[in-house]
Amino acid sequence: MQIELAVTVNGQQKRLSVATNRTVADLLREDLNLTGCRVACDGEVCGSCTILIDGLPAAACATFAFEVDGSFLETIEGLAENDVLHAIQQAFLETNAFQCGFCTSGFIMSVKALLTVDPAPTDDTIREWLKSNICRCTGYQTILDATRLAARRIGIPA
Amino acid sequence: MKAIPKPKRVAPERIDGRQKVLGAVRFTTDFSLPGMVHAKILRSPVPHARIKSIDASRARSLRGVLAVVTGADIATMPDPFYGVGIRDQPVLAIDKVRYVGDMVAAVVAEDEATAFRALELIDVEYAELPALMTIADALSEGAPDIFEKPSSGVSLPVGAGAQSLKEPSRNVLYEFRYARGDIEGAMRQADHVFTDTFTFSRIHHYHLEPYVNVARADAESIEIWSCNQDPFILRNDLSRMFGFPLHNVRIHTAMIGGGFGAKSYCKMEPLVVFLARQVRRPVRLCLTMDEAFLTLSKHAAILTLKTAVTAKGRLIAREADIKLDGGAYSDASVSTTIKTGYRITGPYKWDAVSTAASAVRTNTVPGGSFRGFGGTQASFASESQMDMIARRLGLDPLEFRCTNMLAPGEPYAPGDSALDSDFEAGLSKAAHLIGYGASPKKRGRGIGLSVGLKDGGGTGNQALAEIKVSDAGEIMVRAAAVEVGQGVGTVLGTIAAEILDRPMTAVRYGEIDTDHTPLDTGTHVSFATAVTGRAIEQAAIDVRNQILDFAAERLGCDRAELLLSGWKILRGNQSFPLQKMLREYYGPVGTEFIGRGRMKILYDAAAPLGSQNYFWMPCWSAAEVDVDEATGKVTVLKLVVGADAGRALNLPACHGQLEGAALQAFGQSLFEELAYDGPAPVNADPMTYRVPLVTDLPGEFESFIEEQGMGPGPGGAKGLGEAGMLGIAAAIANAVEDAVGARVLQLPITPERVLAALRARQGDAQAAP
Amino acid sequence: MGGGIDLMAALKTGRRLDDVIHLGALPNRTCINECGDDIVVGAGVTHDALARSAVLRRAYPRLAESWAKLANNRIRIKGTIAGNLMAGNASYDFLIVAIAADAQIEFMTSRLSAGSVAAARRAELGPADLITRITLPGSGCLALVVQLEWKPIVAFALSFRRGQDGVVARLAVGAGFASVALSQVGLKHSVFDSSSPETASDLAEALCAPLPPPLTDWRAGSDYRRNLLKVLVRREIEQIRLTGPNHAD
Repeated sequence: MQIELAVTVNGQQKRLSVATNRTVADLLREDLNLTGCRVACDGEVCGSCTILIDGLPAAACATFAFEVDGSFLETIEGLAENDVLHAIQQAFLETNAFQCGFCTSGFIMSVKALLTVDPAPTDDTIREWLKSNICRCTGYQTILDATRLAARRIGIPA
Repeated sequence: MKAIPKPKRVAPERIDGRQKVLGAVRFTTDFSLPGMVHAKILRSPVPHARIKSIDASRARSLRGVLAVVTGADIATMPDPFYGVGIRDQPVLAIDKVRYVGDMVAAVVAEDEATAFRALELIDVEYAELPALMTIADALSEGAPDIFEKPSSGVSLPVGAGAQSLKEPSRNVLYEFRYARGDIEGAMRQADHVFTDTFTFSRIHHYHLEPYVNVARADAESIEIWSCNQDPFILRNDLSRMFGFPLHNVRIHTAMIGGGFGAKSYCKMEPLVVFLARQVRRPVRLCLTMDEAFLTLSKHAAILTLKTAVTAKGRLIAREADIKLDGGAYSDASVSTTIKTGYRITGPYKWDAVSTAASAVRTNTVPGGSFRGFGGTQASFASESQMDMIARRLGLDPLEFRCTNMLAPGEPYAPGDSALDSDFEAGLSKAAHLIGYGASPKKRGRGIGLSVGLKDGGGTGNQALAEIKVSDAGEIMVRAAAVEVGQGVGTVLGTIAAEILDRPMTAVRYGEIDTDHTPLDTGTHVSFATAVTGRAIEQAAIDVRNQILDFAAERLGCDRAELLLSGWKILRGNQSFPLQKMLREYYGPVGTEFIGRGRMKILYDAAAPLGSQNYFWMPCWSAAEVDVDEATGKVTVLKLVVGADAGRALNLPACHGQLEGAALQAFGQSLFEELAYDGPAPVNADPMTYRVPLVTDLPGEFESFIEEQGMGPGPGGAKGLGEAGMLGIAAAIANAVEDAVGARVLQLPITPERVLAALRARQGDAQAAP
Repeated sequence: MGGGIDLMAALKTGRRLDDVIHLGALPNRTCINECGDDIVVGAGVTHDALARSAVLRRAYPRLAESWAKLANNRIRIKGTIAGNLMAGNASYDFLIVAIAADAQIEFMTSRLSAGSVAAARRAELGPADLITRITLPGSGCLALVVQLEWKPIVAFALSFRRGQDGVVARLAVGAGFASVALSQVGLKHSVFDSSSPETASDLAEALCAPLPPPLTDWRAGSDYRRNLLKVLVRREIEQIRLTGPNHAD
């Protein structure tokens, strides 16, 4: 059975016809060729597939497409503008906050949501927030550095 | 002289960085081919059984199913077995299943959902056999044979003083023995002989990118896009197993989303190829994380160390009896066993050594490559016992180690290479950073040190490399070292860029395609920096020489008068733009230079492992803990870990690898375990299996990189990707004993075990007169 | 499905579903209201909304603090209180809180009739019953805390409530036990009375004694869990004594 969806992805409006049991991850990766959303555990545990739904972090692998009808989705592909990296991406690059890169999209989206909700988070807040993302490569410290760096840069008043 | 000395540079941005933060990397999971179909695997629900019958008729008649394949089909292959050295693992179970998760049948269908549904329609009848779930079970009197016939393959060759035994007895896959000196004499003469047994746990790699392969095959050729870390080893295996010439087998390897050894050597790739040949369409097989848990694990082990010392604390001899739980199939158990047996002596001086290490077959997930293998098991046991012996003799654990430590330049063992790190210096630094001996002891608080060790570079390994340089000075590096997150493309690119005096922005790391990429012996044992690095160095020097030769001819002078700098030819105080010179000669399309390098670690029968170890890898670890004596909970307040890069080609990448590995070891030390409590693992799924989260970080976590300059790679470099795994567990166990006098001999160091050790110690204290 | 966390997990491990009804659009499910002293929580209230609600923070600040650390933020944003209750998993956390608080669960049957059970009898609800709201009684509740840091070894919720016959301590245990269990002890003296001869240790002992034996599994043994529970309950009581009552005693 198919249903009709109207969803905004990275600012672009899309109309799609999808099976009722399609996940947002499959919709993004297969229907929209946005493969930056990585599927690892496929069980809402590791956070590799984290995207933003109406500004909040969500596991795309465990969200039905029908749940995002009328919603505003943000993926990693929507961050850079005209090939200029977003401040969070730039911070991850500078602090070496990645190794294999499989968790990186999920972390960056998670950090984006955090800095929107709390532009000057404490270390405790950052850790508690990033508890929803697993990295097996870095040992996390450079990711914390990147988050703090991005917060400092984004938080600078115009 | 090892290499051309170079000035220290600020670490460049990683070559793969931008793609990774953009989410733009195409991993193997993102790859597809037109007309591609999907495979899924039926796995054994029982640990040990004969397969009486398989009826796949209902599955085959499901709409959308293209094929169902079983062991009967696989048995027609020229060689359906794989494994490293000893090859006992069939592409699909033939006649027997040997662990819960063993692959029994494979379905190919138009889409994944149909393939899953078809699995449910396959009826398999099993005749169960007694399950051997532990080493003790497998070695017990009357235990059935997990393998009734000898397996193909050979035990890996070893050298002087060592023995390598294939399938020496029932349910023993392999045994490694090594001895030197007069062990009996030493034991007799010693003032003290201490015997302790340690238990090392099984963990899973938890790589985020799944195991995934896309294969295409026809009558004459095989082509596979694989997340395997060892493309040329895989090519060899596929060639042998299908009877195809090497050049008719083509492997493409993209960047890998985490391996840690899980993606080394043959796994399910032959199966995907078989299916592709069967259905004559491209086949994709992508395992779930749940299936990954049932594919490979780190070897659990029981290590009994009998160590002889003088009263003053000089180590004399060690006798080690090591049993690794190899699981159901060989995979990399042979090399893991050799390495555990050989590394058990640590970086210390011994008069006599005797090791017997074996891989026992059990009906559990196969043990295989996992970062630091052998060194992790050995270091936990050895470095725990070092502290225990020191305390028993009333000696300071740091001093005890230092007085027995091998110095740089001293051979690890007779016939082997010399240590190329100052182990004592690094340990002293770790001790200093943790505040060893600095403040008075507080109740419940303790500090522990350890120095883990492994050899690096691999036994007789080899790497070829190629560099293509355009007339504009753009460098394309071609080597088979796979980017698994360690930054190998950037490190190898840095070597080339330094020699050719080009910025890192001009460097690319080529895609790995066995048709075009030069060969190597696999991305493991931390060998890329030192071994492939030397090949890259040769290739870059080759290119530079070609360029200078060209310029010398154009300028009518001697090559020795010329320098290549900033992509100009310098002659005295004259400077000639190189690209202009090249285009004038070669025309508007320009030209390119191709340089080649080849590095091979020699075999050497006089060395115990059959080849001198290329370099040595220390792991200096220190932990400060707080132990809650009411609950047994261990809180790591501070963790320090150090490694020797020789010369750091990319310092942030070194720290990253060191910290990442250390946190994996930290998890294993305290809570992470792939646990069996019956025929199947109890926590083989991402929800239940606990890996370290950011909230698990110790209060303070510091890594340090020594650059002692003695490595064999360019500029004195050597690898350290595995180092962080080696010393952490012993450092924490030692810290716990320092804190509350409780010695935990087993991993993980759970609160319950700490409490039990505390009670045992209190019991001893009460019982003693 | 409410948040859909358990439903999605079931689907991915092979459960076949024909129809899914998304409860997200139903009204009033996401409200948290004060009703006199009571706190009324709509079935669709997410863990995140509950943890951050001013109502809960005022009434039970330590509970709100613990709840803000439940699982991780994605789960907290998505998972609902009713979903947590209906999962029927001893390791899931809201049920022990509800039981310790002596909460009332209101539901609707498939026949559209309304029902109500004490949280301790949540197992009586069938798969066709739909939880509508949960009421945490406020009056007389002196303290309500939950200890989740030792999951999956043990987890518990502890409350002190003033009833007609004096103060009662309620301990509800979940993780580490075969099923959720409750133990109650009447206090002879106020728990906040520092001159009381009843020590925290005595009280913890008394609360733990009637509980069924904890599990022995691959994570921990029964004896260890039993001992650990006593230590942790004692520490919570000591902490409660230090913090003082939620409202004037």
